Amino acid sequence: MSFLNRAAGKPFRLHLWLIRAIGVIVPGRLRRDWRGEWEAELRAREAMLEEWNRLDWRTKTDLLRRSVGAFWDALWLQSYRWEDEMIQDIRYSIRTLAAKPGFTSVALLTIALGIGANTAIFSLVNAVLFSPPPFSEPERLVMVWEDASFAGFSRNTPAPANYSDWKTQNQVFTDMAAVSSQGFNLTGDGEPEKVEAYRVTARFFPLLGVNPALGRVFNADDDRPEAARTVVLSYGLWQSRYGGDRDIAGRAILLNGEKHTVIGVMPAGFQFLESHIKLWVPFAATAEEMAQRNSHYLHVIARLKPDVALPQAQSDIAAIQERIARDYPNEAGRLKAFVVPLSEELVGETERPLLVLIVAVGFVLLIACANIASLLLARAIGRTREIAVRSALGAARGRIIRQLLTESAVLSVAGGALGLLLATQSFAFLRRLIPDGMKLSANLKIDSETLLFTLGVSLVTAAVFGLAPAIQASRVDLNEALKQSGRAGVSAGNRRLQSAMVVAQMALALVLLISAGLLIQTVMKLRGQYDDLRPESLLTVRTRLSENKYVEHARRAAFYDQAIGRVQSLPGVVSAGYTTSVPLEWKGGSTGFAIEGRPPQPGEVNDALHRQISADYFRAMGIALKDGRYFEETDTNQSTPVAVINETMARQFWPNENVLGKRFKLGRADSQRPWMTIVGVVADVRQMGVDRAAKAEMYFPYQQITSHSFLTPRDLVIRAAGDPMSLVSAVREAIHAVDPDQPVSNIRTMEEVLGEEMAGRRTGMTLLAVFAGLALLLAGVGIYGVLSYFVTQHTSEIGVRMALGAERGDILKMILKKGMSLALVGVSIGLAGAFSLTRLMASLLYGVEASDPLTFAGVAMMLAMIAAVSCYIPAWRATRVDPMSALRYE
Amino acid sequence: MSPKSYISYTAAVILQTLANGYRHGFDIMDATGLPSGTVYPALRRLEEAGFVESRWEKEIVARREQRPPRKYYDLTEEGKEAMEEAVRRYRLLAQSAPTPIRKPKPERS
Repeated sequence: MSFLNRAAGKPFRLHLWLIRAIGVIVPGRLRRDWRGEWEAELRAREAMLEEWNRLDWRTKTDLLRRSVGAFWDALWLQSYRWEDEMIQDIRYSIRTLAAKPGFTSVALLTIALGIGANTAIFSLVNAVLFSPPPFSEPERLVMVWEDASFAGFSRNTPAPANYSDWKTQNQVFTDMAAVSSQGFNLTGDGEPEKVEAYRVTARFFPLLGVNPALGRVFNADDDRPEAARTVVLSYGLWQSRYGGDRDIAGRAILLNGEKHTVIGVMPAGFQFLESHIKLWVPFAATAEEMAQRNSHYLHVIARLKPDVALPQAQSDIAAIQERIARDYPNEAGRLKAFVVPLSEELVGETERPLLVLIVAVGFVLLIACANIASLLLARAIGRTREIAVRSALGAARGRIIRQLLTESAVLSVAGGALGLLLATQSFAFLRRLIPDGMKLSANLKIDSETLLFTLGVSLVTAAVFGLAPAIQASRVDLNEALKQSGRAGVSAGNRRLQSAMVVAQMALALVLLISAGLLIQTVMKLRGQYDDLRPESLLTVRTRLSENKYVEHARRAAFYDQAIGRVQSLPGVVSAGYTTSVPLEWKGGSTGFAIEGRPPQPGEVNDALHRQISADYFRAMGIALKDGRYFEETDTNQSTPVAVINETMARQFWPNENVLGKRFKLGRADSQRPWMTIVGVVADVRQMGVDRAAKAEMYFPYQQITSHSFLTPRDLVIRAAGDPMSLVSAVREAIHAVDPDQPVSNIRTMEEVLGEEMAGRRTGMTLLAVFAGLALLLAGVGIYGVLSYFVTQHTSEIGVRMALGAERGDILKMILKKGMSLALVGVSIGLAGAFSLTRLMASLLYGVEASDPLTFAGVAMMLAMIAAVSCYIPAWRATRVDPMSALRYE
Repeated sequence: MSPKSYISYTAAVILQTLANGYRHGFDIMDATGLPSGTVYPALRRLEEAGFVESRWEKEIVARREQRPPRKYYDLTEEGKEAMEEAVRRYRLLAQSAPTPIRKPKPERS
């Protein structure tokens, strides 16, 4: 049996195949020898074994094992790579690139911007969408919400009694915990400070599976109303207020004037839902509180049993909620409940903007690629002779393409490295796009994944922009190119390719510009809603009264009276007023009410935001009166109880009626509370979010509401004559003159409140605008470059035309026409592309259609103008061609 | 410091195996029990250091045996010296060295 026959008899032998595969990484120079040696050994062994009749599975495995060992051999040979062709190519590339510093730096910068933008957005997306929250087995964590869609709250914070029913009746969770927000005045050891905190049930920390950095977390004993007060600090508060004191455990701190013993400190980067939570206290609910079904203020977190899937949990919770609805038709008749994975909850609404950014940076990179491809094409024309010489000397076409591709790879890897640097610089800015739910835990950083991504993108980029020019360039006609007088031949294919690149750049740039235009309008429209308030001259400060100190209503009212009196008399203050919360600061705080003479249907709940204010609040805030009157100094606890409502509330509950004089009361109609007469209607202000419709809102004079102490005013707004921030210290002094221990916090202008609310959108908009600007610049440079080359290439033709009598104007027209026809094709394609792509962003837009004709037309016109300017310079230069010298050149 | 005095135990074993007449990579593996991932890089290192030289089998020999030509390795003069020095240093080497034979003969089953 001959060797060949044997080979034919066994078509696939894994060990030989392995050698071929491993051989790929052996330096090219050594590869033939290397494969020859290994194959010969393996085949000789095979032949010998066959002769001995011992080619069984055991010996075959041994052959396989030996061929795997070839991998180490191949690795060892990597040290010879430096003398390899590839390295030669790289060295040659670096030399050629260095010889043209102008071209190289433009190309490098273009690539760096393209890849840098992609790397930055990749790290952001990686941190936000693909990093699980830092809890143990986070994929099993879910949030449970009430669905009160009938009242306009599709995601409602659950009531304690519902939570405790879910907890006791469910079959799907291993554990469940509840959280509610609470503010504290932190006093003693330093300035009084207002801190946001969470009350958490004992199972909260164990459920998340996070251990404290110091001390311990709560146990069941701490979580009883009669237990001694304890507190767990956040890492941030521990550092900032207690200097990272390692003996803090056991120390007592004053929260709302009460002693709480610090039992532990959570690690840095620990956060749940909100990033500004400074400490945690036990929930320690009384039996009455846990029986509450009317107040909805919890966040509920649960851990799925290992074998339970989300839909199963969903139906279990829905079934329990149905039972609750049956048993308590008045409180929960139409209430539903649902389960959301925690990771989804944390990502929130950032997924769509991130998607838009990913597409945008992809476009920027494509434009950069097209740009460099045309640069390379142009350059290849200049190198025709060099390439021709090399092929005449025997370089194969593949070899030339490989050399040119290596050049592209060197360019793009160097550009990628530069881009990485740019990306790290952008992290501080990009952090603003991280949703609050993961602000502390998510980290923007360059890690191995990012590096791999950047390297991958660089290589792919090199292939995208390098391949077509390399193939074009290698297609040289030796005869033509080597002729002494041979004009560097520009093939038709080459020109077509250049034109295609210009068209592509124009089209992509247009899509980006239109998207940016739509987002800019959205942000402006959203912001414009608050222009009537003149937010730039409004100062807001928070003075949250301690619940232990200001127990009686009279005492609270006295504080507000005095504080307002003092602040109003400060120089530079136009007016000042107190409110439960300024718009957007607290997207909650609603209470139920009953309308006189209209008994509710079973399960019907009238519900509106509840704000207790001082008489001057509307005037200070700039909320316009639509009907009736504002509150007056005469609305006191002695006079008739009155209310002012917003337009939405009037429309929603008294449609087509004159609401003035209508009466309603807080709670149920049969409660002991007084009826309140509507004396005024004021304009809507969007309080729930800049992009959420205004919710029904009712205002009461704080003097008249003795119940609902948790809705007592806490935000003071001051209309300033000049710079509002210049009033800060005077206001602080005025407050401290009333109560020296009263913390003053959240000192901001209303403009800043708005700014914070819009920060995410604004950042997204800015990024998109930057990318669009970049695209515009690159596209402009691109069309300019191509036309310039065209002019240089056709100098003699232009000379001939002029010698034959062509006017300068004709030449100008000819060149402009060439450039503009390309630009306009690009613009048309771009318009079509934008029309289909901007739908992606429809949910991000406000006050402007995704296919807004004005934006489309305006941006297209702007791009066409930029293109015209880019075309004009080379066209003008063409008219300067001196016919004589052009012909002499020929 | 000459590289000779720092020749590794594995390299010394391979040199001695070569001296005993085993000339192909796979035969050395059989004789020493070392895996291919150790033997080949060691051979390359030894070749680079000039202790070993490699040659391709004559085409005609290979064709007679109906297989592709194999590469074989021989000790150089320096290689012999290095091996002798190594034998002095690694006393166990003399005992562990395979007996000189021409071809590994697996027992018949």
